[in-house]
Amino acid sequence: MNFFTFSSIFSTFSTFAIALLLFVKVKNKSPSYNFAYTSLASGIWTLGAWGFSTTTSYDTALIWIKVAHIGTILTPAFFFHFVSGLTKKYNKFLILLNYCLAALFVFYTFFYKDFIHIKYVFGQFYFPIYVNPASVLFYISVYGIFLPYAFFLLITFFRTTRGILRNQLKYFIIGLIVAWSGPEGLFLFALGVPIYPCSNILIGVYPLIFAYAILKYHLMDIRIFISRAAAFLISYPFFLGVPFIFAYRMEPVLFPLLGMNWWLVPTSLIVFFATLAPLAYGQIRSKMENAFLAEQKRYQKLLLQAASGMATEHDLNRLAKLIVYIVKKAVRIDFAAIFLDDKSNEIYRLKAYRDRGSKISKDMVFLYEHPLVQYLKKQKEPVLYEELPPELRESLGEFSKTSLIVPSGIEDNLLGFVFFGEKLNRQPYTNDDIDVFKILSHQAALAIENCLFMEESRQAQEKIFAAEKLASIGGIADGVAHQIKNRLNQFSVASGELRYEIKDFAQKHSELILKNPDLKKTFDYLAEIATSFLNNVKRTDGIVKGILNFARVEEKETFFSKFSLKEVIDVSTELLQIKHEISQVPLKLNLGSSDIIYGVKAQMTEVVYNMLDNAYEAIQDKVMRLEPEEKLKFSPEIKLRLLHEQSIDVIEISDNGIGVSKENERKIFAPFFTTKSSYKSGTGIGMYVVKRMVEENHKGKVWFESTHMKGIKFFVELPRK
Amino acid sequence: MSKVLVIDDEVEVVDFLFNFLRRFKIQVEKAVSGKGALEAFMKVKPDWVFLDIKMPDIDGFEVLKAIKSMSPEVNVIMITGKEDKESQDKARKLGAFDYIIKPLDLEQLHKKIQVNILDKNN
Repeated sequence: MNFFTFSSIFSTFSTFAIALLLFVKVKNKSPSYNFAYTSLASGIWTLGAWGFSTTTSYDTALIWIKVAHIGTILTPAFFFHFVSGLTKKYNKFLILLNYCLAALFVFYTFFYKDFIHIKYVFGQFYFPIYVNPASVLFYISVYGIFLPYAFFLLITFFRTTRGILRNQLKYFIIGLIVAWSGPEGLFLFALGVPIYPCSNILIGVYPLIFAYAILKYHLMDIRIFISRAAAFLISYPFFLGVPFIFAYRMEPVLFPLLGMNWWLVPTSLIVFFATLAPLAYGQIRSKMENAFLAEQKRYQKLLLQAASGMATEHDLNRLAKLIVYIVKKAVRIDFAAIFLDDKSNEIYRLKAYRDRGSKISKDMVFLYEHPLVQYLKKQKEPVLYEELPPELRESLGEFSKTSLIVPSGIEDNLLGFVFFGEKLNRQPYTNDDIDVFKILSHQAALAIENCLFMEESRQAQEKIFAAEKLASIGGIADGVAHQIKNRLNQFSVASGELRYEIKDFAQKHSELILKNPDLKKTFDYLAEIATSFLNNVKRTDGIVKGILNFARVEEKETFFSKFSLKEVIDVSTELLQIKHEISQVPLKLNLGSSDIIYGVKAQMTEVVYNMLDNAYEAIQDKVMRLEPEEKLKFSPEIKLRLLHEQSIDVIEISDNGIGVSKENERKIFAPFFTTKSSYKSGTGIGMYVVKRMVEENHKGKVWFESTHMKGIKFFVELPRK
Repeated sequence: MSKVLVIDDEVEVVDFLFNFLRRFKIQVEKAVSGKGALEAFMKVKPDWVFLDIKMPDIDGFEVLKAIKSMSPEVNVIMITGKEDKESQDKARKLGAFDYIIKPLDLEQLHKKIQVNILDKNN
């Protein structure tokens, strides 16, 4: 059997096989169906070639050549139809023209005697030779114009594609170029160039490329395919070929030495090399892949390193930015965007975004009900743009240029997802990439979870702070002050208006008033009342301003200084008088030689105020529980004493109020704890504030001694700098 | 004759101011919400506006912005409880003519009106 026959048989099987596969797998009317016809038609050529290359009879050869030629004519027509469909450049006229030309040439083949000449070549078989101008015209029109045009369409289309489709198309086009160089090579011979028609084998090779690439490595980069194929071709034939060559060459040497058992030597060599070959293959493969995929390996390594570093980030916003930054920089892509779960609003919110200049709206969100969110929740794995259902692709809006979406979550909880743009070098994402992103996404999920936890505890902390603020003088002051001011304004405007009314009336009816002294007296008195109102408004406004100023100072002032405790006590008692509507606080002071202490004045005012407030309320609580005759005997008393020791100052505040019961002793500094029968304020935050301000901010100590129903004594110890 | 629009969410305050301003033969219109203010403003086309800041529906600053964008020549006097410097600066930046802090002293207001409105009318 000659090589041409072999190549024909091989190609017949492979093209028919792929045609069969496509007919079975592909839906009718899809462009791929036309590709099945294309394969079938090329199979007809190779079948014909098988026929004519195995006969020495001129007549039989002529019949086979005519059969084969039908394939030659139909293949490009179907191919053109297929490409038009695939690239969506559907030009009905051109497709029809192709089919008409095909029909014309089929007609010629059978009924125009001189269309094909055949010639016995290489002393092996008959072969068609184009000498007739009609057959040359056929060649030029179909293989010279339409076929290159189809390739032009294909390559133009290829440039517009992205991701997996681009990857598949790459194989496909390579396969097609290989396949079509088959007949082009044959034509060279048919047109008179004296080379053996060995390119026939290429016709059968493309289905192998397709089958291998599309079915098995549809996600894999072609570079991997090439490097593996090359590694295979280098390792196996070499290692398995060596024993054969050895056997062939060494038989004359070995036979005299070992007699009939000479074959043992090459056989053991085969065994030896057969075990060596896979090892060599693996080595060569990884070496080649490393060389080919250096860039990819580089960023994959970088990503994995970054992933392990993510866990140390506790701020969600910074983490989001970090993820996006790492991804965009390391993988070198158009853009990266991260969306994170916003539970309170039931949306996924755009948290961070990086790209090359183009603007997108910063407040982009996906609702929980968004089909993409639903899809990612179900998938849980990175998904390529091309794998998304078409309606989802359309719903991506501003992110329609996304190539890959990587969801990040723990179990069924989708914490967020990252949009990856296309790589800058336009390489598609590979399986290896996706494996790395899976790890990255898992790490990110843990880090996000971590952040959310930190965030939650931070928010809880803030809630306590907010309550603290509310309980603090400043908090009360701000809210109440506005209300008071509105009422004062009413008084002020009303009394002012009253004065004007009186004045106007007096002017208009001056005679009436002159005649009637009583009326004048009344009017004067009314004006006096109005003035008194106005004066009171001004005074009250002064007080409100005083409280507000204090509140503002408190917010801003955090510096340590030496200051007078007496001043602090005065402010606090004044505030207590306002709060409890009392003229005097039953307070006895013993400040010793000096009332100067060291700390943050505003905070210490808060501390003293809270402790005095607490003491006063404890006394009120006790009074409420006393019998009437006991009440008469009871005299409320709060004592404040300042002691200076070597490096500390101690403030003691004691009262003869209700004290604290044994079971409540441990809770007294806990936030939101109160024993007061919601007497006045009762937020339960006062002593917590005291403890925090003293112990955290001043590095001091607070403790107390108490007897239930007898009273309590607090100690505040402040280090003196 | 000048027209004044008084805007405050406290109905009684607005009523008192209404009576007060009428003494000086000023044509006065009232509004007790931000929304009502804008409607009244378009209807009345006043020369002067007395404007509160804290209102339940539309913030006084927003009203000021809207008024100034519609008719920049209108003079707006803020009358508000907000004392802070930021609010005062903001009001001036938005084009307020004056900023009076509550509680409102009618005698002082009278002096301002005398200089800026009444004297100019004559």
